[in-house]
Formats: sequence, structure tokens, C-alpha cells
Amino acid sequence: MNFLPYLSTIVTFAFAVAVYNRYRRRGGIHLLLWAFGLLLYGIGTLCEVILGLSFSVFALKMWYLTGAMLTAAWLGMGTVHLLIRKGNTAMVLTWVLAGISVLAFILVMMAPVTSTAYDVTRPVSEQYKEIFTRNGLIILLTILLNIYGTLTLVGGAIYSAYLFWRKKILVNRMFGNILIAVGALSPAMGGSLLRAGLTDMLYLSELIGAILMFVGFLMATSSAPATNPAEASS
Amino acid sequence: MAAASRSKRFKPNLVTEKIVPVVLVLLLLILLAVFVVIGLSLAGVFSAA
Repeated sequence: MNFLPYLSTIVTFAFAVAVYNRYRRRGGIHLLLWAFGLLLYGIGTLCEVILGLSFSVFALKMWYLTGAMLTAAWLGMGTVHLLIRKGNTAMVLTWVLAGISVLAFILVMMAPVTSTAYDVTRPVSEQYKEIFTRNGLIILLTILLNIYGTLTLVGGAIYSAYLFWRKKILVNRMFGNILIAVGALSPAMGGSLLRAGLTDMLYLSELIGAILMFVGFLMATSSAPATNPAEASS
Repeated sequence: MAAASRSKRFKPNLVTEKIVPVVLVLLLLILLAVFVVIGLSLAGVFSAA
């Protein structure tokens, strides 16, 4: 199972480059934020690769910071910019998230780690709770950031797909958004199963999520450029 | 703009008329389930988040 983070890292960085290239061609802060969120996603899976080879306190902390705390929130922030175009609500939320991200970085870097119990043959997701001591604020921020990110990213994709379905336009974007929603739900479900202590399928859910979101993005952006910015979902 | 939208309209079929809305509702329910698990974690039902 430990080869999965290698594949996830390759797929996610390729996805991030594709989104960033689209941002360079077309502009749009939502694309830039998605690319940033995918970069965090890729850093998280890259840390899983490193932690599968040898133990590193920094890699463990970066894995938790990027994978467990920040990725979903920053991806969702991109969707917020896409869907809320009037006023400066999206920009204010972005600065709030930036501040919270800095706070999360400081808290995670200050948190104590016990490396003696670490086993490189087991996924980090199985054992991080035993070696990484998180205070109440870190756990609270993790939960809030994941609620915010999942709600905006998945909810935004479902809402966009619904709009295309209702208007009966741009079938590729409708299906693309459905795939993005399913892909974004995959690691969210993997994380939920892990929280519930039912099963650890985090690595698999991350790979499935990255692939489905990438395919959804390619599908949604495969047509001619939309003339109406409101149609340019994903 | 309206003309552009009209030119991109798709013809409804069984999948787009019947299956897509069911899938969207299903996704919403899964999203809700994820939040329920997160809420239960917050309530301390599970060990930690």
C-alpha cells in the first residue's frame, strides 16, 4: 500500500501544474488558489513518501499541516472566489484563511513529537496520533478548516453541476463538476473513516481523489472558453 | 452571451434527466455524512480528530 503516495504525488503535482498553466493563460484568482491548494495536497502526499522511507519530524509536521489542515480549506477558497464574485467577501475570507494558516503553522511546528514509536513500514496516518501531540486548538482548527474546505469545495462543485443541469448547458462542465465533487469527497471520507477509527484508507482515498478531480478538471475545461465568467466553473 | 449559452445547450437524455439529479442528491447526503462524523469527533464520540 505504501506505493500509493508516490502515485498521488505525481498526479497531484501534474494537476497543480495544469491548473497553474490555465491561470497563466486566463487569469482568475480561483485558479491560482486551486493551484496553491493542489501544491499543498502534493506536499502532503510527498511527506507520506518521505515518511515511508525514514522518520523526519519536519516531514511529519508538514504532512499534518498540509494534508490534514490546509489543503481542503485552500481548495475550497478557490471555489469561493469562483462563486462569490461581487464585493470583497472572498478576498476578506482569503486573508482570514491566510492568518489562520500562519497560526496553524506556528502551532504545528511548536507541537511536541515522540519519534521513538515510529514504524516506517506502517502508514503515517495509522500512527501519527501516537507520536504527534496535538493540543486542543490544533484539533479544533483541523476540524473547522476541514468543515470549511469540504463544504465550499464539494458544495461548490455540486452547486455548479446543479446550475449546468438546470440550464441544460455545457454538459462537459456538469459532469466535470460531478467528478470534482466525488474526488473531493474521497479524501474527506477517508479522513472521516480514520477519525471514526473504522479503517485507514487515507492513502487510497487521496489517490482516488486526486485522479477524479484531475479528470473532472480536464473534462470541465475541455470546451471552448466560456464567454460568460459565471459559466467558467472549474 | 445568450446566443453562446444556447449554442452550448445539450439535449436531455435518460442519464442527464434522471440519473444526474439522483447522483447530486447522493453526493449531498455523503457530504452530510462526512459532517456528521466530524461533529461526532468534536463531541468526543471518537478518540480525536
